[in-house]
Amino acid sequence: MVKFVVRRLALFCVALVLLSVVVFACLRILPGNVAAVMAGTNSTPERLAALSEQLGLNRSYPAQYFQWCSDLLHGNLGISMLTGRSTMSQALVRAQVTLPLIVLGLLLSLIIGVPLGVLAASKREGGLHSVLRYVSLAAGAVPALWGGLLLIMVFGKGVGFVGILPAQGFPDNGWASPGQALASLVLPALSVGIISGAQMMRYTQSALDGVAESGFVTMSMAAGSTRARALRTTGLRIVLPDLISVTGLSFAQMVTGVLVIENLFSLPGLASMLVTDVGNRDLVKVQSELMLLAAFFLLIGLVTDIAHRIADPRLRTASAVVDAGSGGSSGEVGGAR
Amino acid sequence: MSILRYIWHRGEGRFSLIVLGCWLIVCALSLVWTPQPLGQSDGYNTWASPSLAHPMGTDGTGRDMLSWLMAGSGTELQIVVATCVLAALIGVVFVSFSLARSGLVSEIATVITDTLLSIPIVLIALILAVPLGASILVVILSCAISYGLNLARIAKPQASLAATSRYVEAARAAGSSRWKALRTHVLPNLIPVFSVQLSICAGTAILAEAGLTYLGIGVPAGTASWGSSLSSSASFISIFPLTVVWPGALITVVVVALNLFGDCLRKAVDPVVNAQLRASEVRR
Repeated sequence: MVKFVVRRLALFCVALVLLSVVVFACLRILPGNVAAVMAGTNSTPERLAALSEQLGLNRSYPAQYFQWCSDLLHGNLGISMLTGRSTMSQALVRAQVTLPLIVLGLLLSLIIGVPLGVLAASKREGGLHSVLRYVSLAAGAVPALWGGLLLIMVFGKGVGFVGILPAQGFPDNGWASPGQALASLVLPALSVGIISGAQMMRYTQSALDGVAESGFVTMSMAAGSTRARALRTTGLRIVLPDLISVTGLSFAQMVTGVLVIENLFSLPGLASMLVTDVGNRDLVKVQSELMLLAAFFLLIGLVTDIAHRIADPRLRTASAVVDAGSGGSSGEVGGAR
Repeated sequence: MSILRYIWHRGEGRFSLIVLGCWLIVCALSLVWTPQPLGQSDGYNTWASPSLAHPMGTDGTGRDMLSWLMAGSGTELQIVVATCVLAALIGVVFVSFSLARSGLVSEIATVITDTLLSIPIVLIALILAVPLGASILVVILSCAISYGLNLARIAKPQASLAATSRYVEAARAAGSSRWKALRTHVLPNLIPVFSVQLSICAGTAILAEAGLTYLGIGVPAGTASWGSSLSSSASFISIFPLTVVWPGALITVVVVALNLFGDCLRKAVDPVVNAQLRASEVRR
């Protein structure tokens, strides 16, 4: 276990360095002079020179790269060239909207997906089984933007048929008024959660179908429980490690939807900041923001992998099982995307 | 061909084949004919309800919805085909590397696939959008990178099973090089996994296109695509709900069809489920 964690940590660091090089390189292959891009078309040569000096663009690429890395490690994410404000403080404010939204969405998707998946798996035939199947298929195929729009049409305050929930914006004082803040996140979280929940449900069902024929479930049924009960108790425990992996993956997959939904509901989250900065080519800021986000998702991947390890006692003793054992189910993981 | 017939004879499969067939036909049709010329916008007739001249109504600049959706199907097809080809290529390369004799190479391939898997598509797209700006290329590249790595991870167990099999051993003993054995004996084993996963990848690409275009880093403004049709009317949902319904429903139906196609394909190429396939194996 310790060896696994150490190895996985080392991989995390390698990936982090790799990504930082990619991000750095991507922002340097811009056509033309970076300073010229940032300063605009009608800037004086003096201003260009000053900007280049300030950004350290006169130095070699490796020197710039190492300067940036050491700044990052000291928690200094640079100052926006356009607004003059520190990237870190801005990102932190924005994350207070985005992170709760992601977590709420993920919770909803688990609350919707796992029980319905168990239900669908325990009913092998019949009306309920097909209804659940088609609902999950359709809901999983809805573009996040459209799902959000449909929810606004039904529940949005002032526009919907049952206008009970705010469809726009976030309270100005943020989480200082928790009730309002939470209410304004309900519809966005639902839009993300239902779509991702449908995928979670399909995955839970196919994973449970996979173990339904296994000796574990048969044994449990021989000991006197019904098939549904055996699936709920024994089956769910066996697929738990895979469910954890899928949850980690859907965390990453939800993000496109989350950013879209944030824009749609005009929430002041990371999405609008990122898209504006990329559009403005505010390079210093973009480079640090993207790196910060990438590190965050790598961290989620790391945590997921370790949780997967802990949840599956079989992997603690035999490392050889990894490839053989996860083979069939990882195919399904992809299927659930 | 027999695979297509198998899919056609299942209710869900028939639905998916019909939808995908219509998509291709509309694509071809839109190259030569659309109900209204694409460039023409009817300024006096914005947000029109469905009528004979505009079967799906018009959008905020008076452009004919149906014509733009038809033209968008071509863009969508380009994105899907390019994404799938590129993803398959990336998948094959990484699977091959992970089977490499050198421990270092296979280790690096595994590190890249395992760790980069947790990077979301939109983040890759944002990184690419800085040098490329809003373009179809951003959508294609980000989906292909993300899904190609996923493919490699999914196909790896099957590939390593094939690589250690008796027939590869026999081929090697008969004098074929490692490269040739990989090409003729290992990679063909991956075709079923790849074809199923790629049909799901196609659905993901269409959904990602809609999302990225709305965020302003996907298909550039002025290019017809389902995502841009959806997002250009998104802000007016409360006043003109109908213009939003068409593109959204279209995307959903096509993605459902692609997923059902993948499901049926999985059954068609899996001998455990498909009794016919099993029987023909025995006969041979």
